Amino acid sequence: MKRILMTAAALCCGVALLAGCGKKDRNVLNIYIWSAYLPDEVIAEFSQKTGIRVNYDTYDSNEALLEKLQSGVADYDLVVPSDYMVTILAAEGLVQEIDHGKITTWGNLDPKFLNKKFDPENKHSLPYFWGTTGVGFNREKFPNGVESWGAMFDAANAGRILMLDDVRECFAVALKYMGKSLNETDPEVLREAADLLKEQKKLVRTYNSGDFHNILASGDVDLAHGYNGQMAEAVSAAPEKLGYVVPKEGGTFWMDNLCIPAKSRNVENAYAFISYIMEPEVNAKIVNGVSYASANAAARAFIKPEILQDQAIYPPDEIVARCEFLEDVGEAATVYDRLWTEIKAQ
Amino acid sequence: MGVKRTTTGTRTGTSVKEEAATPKKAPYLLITPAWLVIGLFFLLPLIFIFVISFGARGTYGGLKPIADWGAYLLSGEFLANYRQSLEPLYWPIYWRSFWMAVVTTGLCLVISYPIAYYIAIIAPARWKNLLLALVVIPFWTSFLIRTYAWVLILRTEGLINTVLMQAGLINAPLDLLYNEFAVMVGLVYGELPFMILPLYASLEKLDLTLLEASSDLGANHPSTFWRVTVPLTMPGIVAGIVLVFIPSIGQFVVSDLLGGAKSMLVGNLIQNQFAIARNKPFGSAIAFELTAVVLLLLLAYAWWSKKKGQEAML
Repeated sequence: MKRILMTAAALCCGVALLAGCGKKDRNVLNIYIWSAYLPDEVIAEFSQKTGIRVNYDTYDSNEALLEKLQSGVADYDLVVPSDYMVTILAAEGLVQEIDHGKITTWGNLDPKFLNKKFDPENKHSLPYFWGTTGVGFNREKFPNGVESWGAMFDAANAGRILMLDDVRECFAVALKYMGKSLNETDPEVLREAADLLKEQKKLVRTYNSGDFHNILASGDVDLAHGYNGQMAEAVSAAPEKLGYVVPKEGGTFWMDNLCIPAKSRNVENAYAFISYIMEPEVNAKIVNGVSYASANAAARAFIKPEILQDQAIYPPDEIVARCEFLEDVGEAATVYDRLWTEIKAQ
Repeated sequence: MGVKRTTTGTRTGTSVKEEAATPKKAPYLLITPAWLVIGLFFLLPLIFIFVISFGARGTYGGLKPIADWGAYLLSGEFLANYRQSLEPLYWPIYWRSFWMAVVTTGLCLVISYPIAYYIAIIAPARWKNLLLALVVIPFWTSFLIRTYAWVLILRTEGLINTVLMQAGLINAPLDLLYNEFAVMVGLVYGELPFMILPLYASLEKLDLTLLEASSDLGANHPSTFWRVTVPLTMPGIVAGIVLVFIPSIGQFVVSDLLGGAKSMLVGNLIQNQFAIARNKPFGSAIAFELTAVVLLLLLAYAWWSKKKGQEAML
């Protein structure tokens, strides 16, 4: 009996502890964000200024974010989904509408990045970073640079190619090379693209989504399909050896956006944080720290000129014009998955 | 269990009853934590997976709501994921996963046996603990990091190529990474301790006088080994095979990191369904099938040990 009482007491303590965790602590902000997207310095300064304690977790895929928010166990106040994921989160009712009036620094945003198809009128999101997917190359092996996605399908480059290990990004390369939209849903066109990718697999040294820039820099491959942010990091470390380009057919254009989850319990703190990181100097500090292009026009004045001039980070307008957003393809996602499995099953 | 045996016959009926009840209840109470852990972390998730595997994919992840349960069950639609998992598209993936697990297990056995034999029988007693510690120490580092270390060793400008080039043994770097060879190296490396430890446990118990008896009776070394040592260490061999084969068949990190993610394994297939295709029901169906295969193997193992009258080592 004594033992049962002890156990019951212990259980009660445990429950009390758990309940304690759920207690409303007004001075907290829980952020869920991509890794290497917020310099610690900026968070520390925000906390110092406002007294709001910031907790932050990181994820490495939009799907991980979706999963976390759908499960309902997460307790986040600010998340940073990419374009197509904003559409899904809004459709699923997982993020709340944003009151533009509460963001004191809204006017600093570049209108060029507002009212995009994935969130017309920016009801649920505001742009944070943007960029492209293109090709990183070894200048010693490609002194004239890379012009077309064709290089990734050229048998002359066998064994020197890296592709992102990502079904949509790989199909985007094949579809753009074919002159199609990268949001194609026609099964026959997708079949053609899959055939191209199947042939290409013989030339590919490795598929990799997390470490592509290091693999390129280490000389294991000479051509690497990848996101501009990490590529810029590798290129700036060895500018005479490496380069980055968006091929002439165009590639993926991506935007990561600030959203407030529907279940956020610290909405005011989220607004305070958003307003803060969109102040020109603060925003510039973030860009200077992590080397991604910001959608903040006012911040440009404070961003290091070498970053603004780096075409890998801030690609020129004519390149951006040839790029497309990845949109959610809905039911066609299963077609993509089957074709991808077919490519990888060989 | 420390049960007091009463020799005096003067006890009352109730106290005898109590005394008899204690040894019966105590073992069950003691294994409760184990059952809780198994229930919470193994059975409950498995039940979730099993239930979800009969659903259909919702467009944005999650499950598609079912309008008419009767029709759903009668039409056999609830089995769609299992039917899909048997399509020829997936056969090469299952076959490769199985085959790689078989080869990994075989290589591990061949490499581990001499090591375990050395540690258990040949090595001086004072070395034993040190050698065993060396087998176990790699576990202190995450498996992912240890696998990544192989990337640094095998890559074009990695350790092996640099050393061989500097020594003048090769002119051009060898292609060591992003192929089947690299995957095998990674898999065997990772699973080796799981083979060495049960083999060691078996060999350690080996009665050396039996080996002497064997050679006294005229058997040479190879026949002593094959006809005495191997049969007597069979429990360790089978335990090692089970311990290595099961993790290898669901392995996918090694093939991604060292094999260049070029060939999908069943682990990748399952992971893709959950993380990328947002098709939890299909992913659950394959995951359940894999679990079922593994459980069948374990049952076969349990049956084998029972038949042999040997104590199962797992």
